[in-house]
Amino acid sequence: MDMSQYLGVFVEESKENIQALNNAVMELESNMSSKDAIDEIFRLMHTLKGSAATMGFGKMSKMCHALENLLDSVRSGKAKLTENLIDLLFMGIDKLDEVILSIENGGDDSDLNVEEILNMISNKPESSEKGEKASSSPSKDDVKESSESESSESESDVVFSDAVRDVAQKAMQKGLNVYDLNVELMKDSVMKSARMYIVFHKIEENGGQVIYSDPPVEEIEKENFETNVRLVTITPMKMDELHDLVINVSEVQKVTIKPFEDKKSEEQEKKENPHPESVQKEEKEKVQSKADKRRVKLTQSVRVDVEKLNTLMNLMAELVISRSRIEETLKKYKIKEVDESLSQLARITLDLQSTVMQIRMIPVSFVFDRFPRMVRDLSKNLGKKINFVIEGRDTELDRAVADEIGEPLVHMIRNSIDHGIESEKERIGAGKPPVGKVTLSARQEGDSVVIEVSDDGRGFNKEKIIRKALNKGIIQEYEVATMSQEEILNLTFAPGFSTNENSTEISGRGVGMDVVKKVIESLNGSVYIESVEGKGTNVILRLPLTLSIIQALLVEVDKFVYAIPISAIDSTLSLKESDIKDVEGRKTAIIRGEIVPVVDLRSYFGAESFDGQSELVVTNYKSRKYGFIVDKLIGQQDIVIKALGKLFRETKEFSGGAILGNGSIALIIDVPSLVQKALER
Amino acid sequence: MVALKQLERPFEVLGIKFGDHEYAIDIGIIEMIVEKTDITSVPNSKDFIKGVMNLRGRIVPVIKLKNILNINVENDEEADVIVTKVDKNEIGFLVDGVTEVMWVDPSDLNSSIKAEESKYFKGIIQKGNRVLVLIDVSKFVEDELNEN
Amino acid sequence: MAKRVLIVDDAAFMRMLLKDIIIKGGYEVVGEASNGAEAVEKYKELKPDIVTMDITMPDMNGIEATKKIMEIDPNANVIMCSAMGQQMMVVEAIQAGAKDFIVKPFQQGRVVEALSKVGK
Repeated sequence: MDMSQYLGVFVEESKENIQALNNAVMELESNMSSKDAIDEIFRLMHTLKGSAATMGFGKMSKMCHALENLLDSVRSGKAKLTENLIDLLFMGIDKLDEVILSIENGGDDSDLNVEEILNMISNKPESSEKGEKASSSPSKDDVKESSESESSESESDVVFSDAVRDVAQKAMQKGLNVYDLNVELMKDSVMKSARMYIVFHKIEENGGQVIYSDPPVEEIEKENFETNVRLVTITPMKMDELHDLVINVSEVQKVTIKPFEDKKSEEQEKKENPHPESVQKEEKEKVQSKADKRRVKLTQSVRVDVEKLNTLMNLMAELVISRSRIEETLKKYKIKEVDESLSQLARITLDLQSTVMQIRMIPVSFVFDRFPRMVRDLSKNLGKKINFVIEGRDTELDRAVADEIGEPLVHMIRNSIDHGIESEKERIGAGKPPVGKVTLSARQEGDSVVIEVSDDGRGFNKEKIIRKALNKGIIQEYEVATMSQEEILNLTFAPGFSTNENSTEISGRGVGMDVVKKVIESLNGSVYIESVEGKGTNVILRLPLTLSIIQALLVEVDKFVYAIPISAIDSTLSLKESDIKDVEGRKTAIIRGEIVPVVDLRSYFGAESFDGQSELVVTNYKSRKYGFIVDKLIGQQDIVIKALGKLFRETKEFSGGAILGNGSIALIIDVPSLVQKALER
Repeated sequence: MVALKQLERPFEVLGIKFGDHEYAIDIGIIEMIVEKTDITSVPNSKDFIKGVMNLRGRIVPVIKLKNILNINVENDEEADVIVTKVDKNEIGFLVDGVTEVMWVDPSDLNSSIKAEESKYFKGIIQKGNRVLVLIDVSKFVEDELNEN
Repeated sequence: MAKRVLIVDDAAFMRMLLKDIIIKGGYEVVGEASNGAEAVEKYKELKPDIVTMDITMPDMNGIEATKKIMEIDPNANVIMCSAMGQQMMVVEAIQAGAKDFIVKPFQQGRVVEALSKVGK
């Protein structure tokens, strides 16, 4: 069978299972007696094992099996749950993670060192290899006992015990049939005892009873047989019926049946035997708890390739553009009849759009959930106790954004723990609680998702940053005096910057904050640092909720159209030249009694001349108002954000561009960046 | 990208025009040639950027090739945009016009002549009495995109 | 008419794989369920001819689900999907009414054999 087509699903699902395993083991670590956690780990491991075996990843499957066994011995009380064992589990999970990564990158599980794990497991002093489950056959204890002694005898000239012969005799007297049959399973049959159990079960189901078996039932249960089992059975069935019944059990290769031959001796015949139990029907369990009839939520889900979602999104975008174009064209002709259809079309596209958006949204827990494990390991490695808090894990954001923020967050959290949080001694010395706190939080703010990593550690030391930046040639001596607090903190984003003199193993893993900045900006997001020395650091990511469609106000400046996100707009008003006052070289307007700094976009965007007729768009940024002077307002519209590309990374005023109905491009104004840049001047 | 190895074999270039001078771009990176249409200027962007254009629903930056090459032709006759694709990045270059696609034999190329005007001049192609300056557009794109 | 099959497994990957095998074997897959509780609901709703039932699942395991299904329909044809080492559970499932079992990793031939035999 060609399995390659399943590889994608296999990898995806295994990743989820590994994530869930991490969580479950952590749960177990915090609550060593949690049976639920053990069951969950067991189940996940089991699923992984089955999938791996099916994909032909034998080593991976073997390892899962070993870990599963380990858990089983814990579950059954044969092994004790210790911290070592938890570490072993984590180690195993990490190995599985590596294997999946390798498989995802086109490799396989051949590098997996199963022996190593197996050795570690078998070296656990707690686990002891003891005991198959106590076996008890369904009934017929008397028969079994007597047949046991004969198990080794060869088939044809076996002498059945008195008990067997007696039972057989009585049965025949009642008009039942007694057959001597040989059942042969396929050579490659697995779980043979369960297979044989089906044979027994079927015979009994049809009113029959097995009164003798070679090997005996206990041995069958232990799988102590090759492929052949000899049975003597009492049944109302005819020989060919019985043959059909048994041969129809899967993996039964051959069945030979002959009538039972009684080879009893004279004396034996005289012996009296107690009545055997009559044919025993299987009893079905009828435990029916009404409470169990709770309604089960049945949500259907389908896995969809992200690529397909992207295509859908692009098509959606095209649709939005086409709709605007039709609307624009039809407006010219003022045809009453199409008005209704048009507004209906608008409604449908809007619904469709939000549905498509919804599909793309996933909770940040998708990314966040792997961090507790990472923090646990870091805190163990560094010997720092950390209280790691996650807030707002249900906050949703676009899958495309979520896919990218994992790595930046790893750096941010590592930095907090490695550089931010002090040693326990240092903390107590500073009058802080001994356990450091690191918080990872997410929340939605308008069209943005804000993700913060904050710690109550030592904070940034400005002098240290400056010294480092000077050493690395990132800044020059003369620049230092004029640098603001924010600018100094921003130096940490410069490539190759690290405040810790001797990089530890953790932070030394290559990239740092410059990578964070790069990734976030490529997503049209922004990064800020707030830090108070001695108190802690807060790194704030502001990311667009989605990478695609927003509502915007279109405005005209110097004959070009620009889009301002509605989410950033407070109000608009027409104004006269005299409404703008010059206060210490800065333009301001008084709006509802509030002094508002104003940026004249016409001059800011380099228009050579402009007349007095203008409009003011008032925007909000960090709970303050800022005004933008534009030539005129065009109207509100849904626009599809497209990136401008790396060539414009210096031009932070624009978060992207949008293609309008007439095919022209409107640049999308990034209000925070524009405010910052324009007012810096 | 035209690697040295490739230069040992004949290769194809597109001839382009600025004023009276002819230049050449390796054809491998050229996606299409379109007429100059509406270009939206992007305020406060780099000097050599003319703006962005709508290329079948995609937003593509348009670069004034003249500025990169420091060609001092004072005119505004740019008529065509050569759209290139380097590592998935589409970038348009404004030129006055295109001449033709031609094969170049390595022996036609003299790469020892280094022009002072631009680091993106890669050599001189001599075709009979025509002289074309070979431009390394992919190097420019790489430089720009990989800069911090 | 092709026999109608309900696939129950918590791993989407396994369901996908089984589905392909089953369809190639000439059967119709009428539904899928990812846990025992869902399987019981789906059984009531779809009345499939055959159910392939994974054993280890969240939210009611395969054995419990088999018991429930047998209560609803004593003639139900349930095939257990087992992993190595689940012998005792398979036995329990058969006591509960399962007709056959197949062992992971699945072999196409074995799956089809089980389906054809159980339907008789």
